[in-house]
Amino acid sequence: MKKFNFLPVVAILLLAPVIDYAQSQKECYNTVSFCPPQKKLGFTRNMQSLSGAFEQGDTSVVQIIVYKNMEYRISICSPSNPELTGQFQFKIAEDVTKGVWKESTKTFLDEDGVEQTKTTRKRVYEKTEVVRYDNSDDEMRQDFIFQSNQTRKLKVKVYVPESDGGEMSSGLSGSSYACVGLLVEHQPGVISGFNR
Amino acid sequence: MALILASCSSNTEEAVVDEEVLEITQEESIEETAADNLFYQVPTPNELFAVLKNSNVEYNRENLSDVSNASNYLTKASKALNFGVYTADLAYVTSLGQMDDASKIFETVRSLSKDLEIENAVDEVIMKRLQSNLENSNADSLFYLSNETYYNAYSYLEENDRRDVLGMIVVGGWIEGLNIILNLEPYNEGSEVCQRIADQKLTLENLLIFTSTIENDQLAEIIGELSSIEEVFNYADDDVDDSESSESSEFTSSESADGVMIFGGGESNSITEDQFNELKSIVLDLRTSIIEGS
Repeated sequence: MKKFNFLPVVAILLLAPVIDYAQSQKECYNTVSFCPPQKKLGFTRNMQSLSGAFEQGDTSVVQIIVYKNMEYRISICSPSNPELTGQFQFKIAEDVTKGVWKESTKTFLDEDGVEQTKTTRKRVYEKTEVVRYDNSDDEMRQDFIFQSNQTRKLKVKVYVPESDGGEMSSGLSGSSYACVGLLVEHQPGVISGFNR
Repeated sequence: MALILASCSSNTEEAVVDEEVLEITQEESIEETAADNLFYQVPTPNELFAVLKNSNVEYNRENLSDVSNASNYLTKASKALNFGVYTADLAYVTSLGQMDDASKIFETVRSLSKDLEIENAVDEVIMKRLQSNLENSNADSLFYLSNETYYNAYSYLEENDRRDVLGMIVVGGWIEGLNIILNLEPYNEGSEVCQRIADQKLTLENLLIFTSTIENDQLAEIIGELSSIEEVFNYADDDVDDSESSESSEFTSSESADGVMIFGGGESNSITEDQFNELKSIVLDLRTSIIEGS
């Protein structure tokens, strides 16, 4: 009896999600150009904007750099999935790396048999995340304008809900993608002015 | 890095028991890499010069790459890197309203975009708007057009899956932008320009991760040369004593008079005069190798 070769089948099964993802990414190019900009407020399109295939029910993270003395506007849209309009949950978070000393004390006997203590201080860098903004605390607003008192890296975490209204979750499973545009705009910082 | 601090001890047995040896170990950690649903973005030179637009920086034509060099670039890599260089120059001159130079650089960028088959970067529509803005001396619109040019090129390359060219443009633009701001003024601790130079540590980090996802030998070669710049930026981390959190580093958020959220706190970026001078020298060498490329 001829042996069935499982290898191509396994390869296809393994590659299918990758091909699906790559294909989805390709189809989603330039989605961000469909997100309504705020030129009237003086904003300019920022190249840190992103178009992509975001998996529904999953979180995508876009790390951007915001300059001091600039004002930024972040908004999200998905023209391919209009049912998601107004449903995106997004957070702006910042990783904080803090150096802390961790001290441990060991007891040992020296060559004369006398008990000694040795304290070791170790410099450890701990990374924690500070959430700067969460649109679920702001009536699920789909855009947000902010400034920063200094240049910093920020993470924009976008949660794309499932179309059937299922619970938001993390982890890559399934293959339902939505084309999502994360529009970043900027303008020289205006603490107060005529624009608004 | 380990540093041993030993306290003085007396000869009595009791004192010996209390002896403390402090071994201080500094651990480096945190490696970032690109993942499927994690994207690292890099600000453009336009954004950098938009920040500096209102900082009274002086215009110096000497900081620009000569447009006559453009005809010397024969390979795809040199064309792409220098496309990035000229778009950074364009951002600089248009941010300061230098009409005459802007026109020449727009033409050069247009010519390179044709060579690189980035047809829509500087199309007829942009050229007409450029002409009209030059005639009306509309500096703000020129700056906007330079941003659009970069945006068009970027989108086109992304859409057509030409990430190798995209990566080279981003790298060329980043190096030229850094070279320009390093030559705007002498080192002046805490000045707006020096702070923006120090900020490039963050943009470099994202640039390195962004380009790490692109497989191209020529790009890898030039990225390898950025390691010396990263080393200089990282001197600051070694020198700064961040053992205790200070009140100024506490994270705050406040609202401006018209309701805009302002993120505060955290450590600001800074560089020393030595770092400034070293960066200036390394970046100049790298930039020279790019603009002299064939």
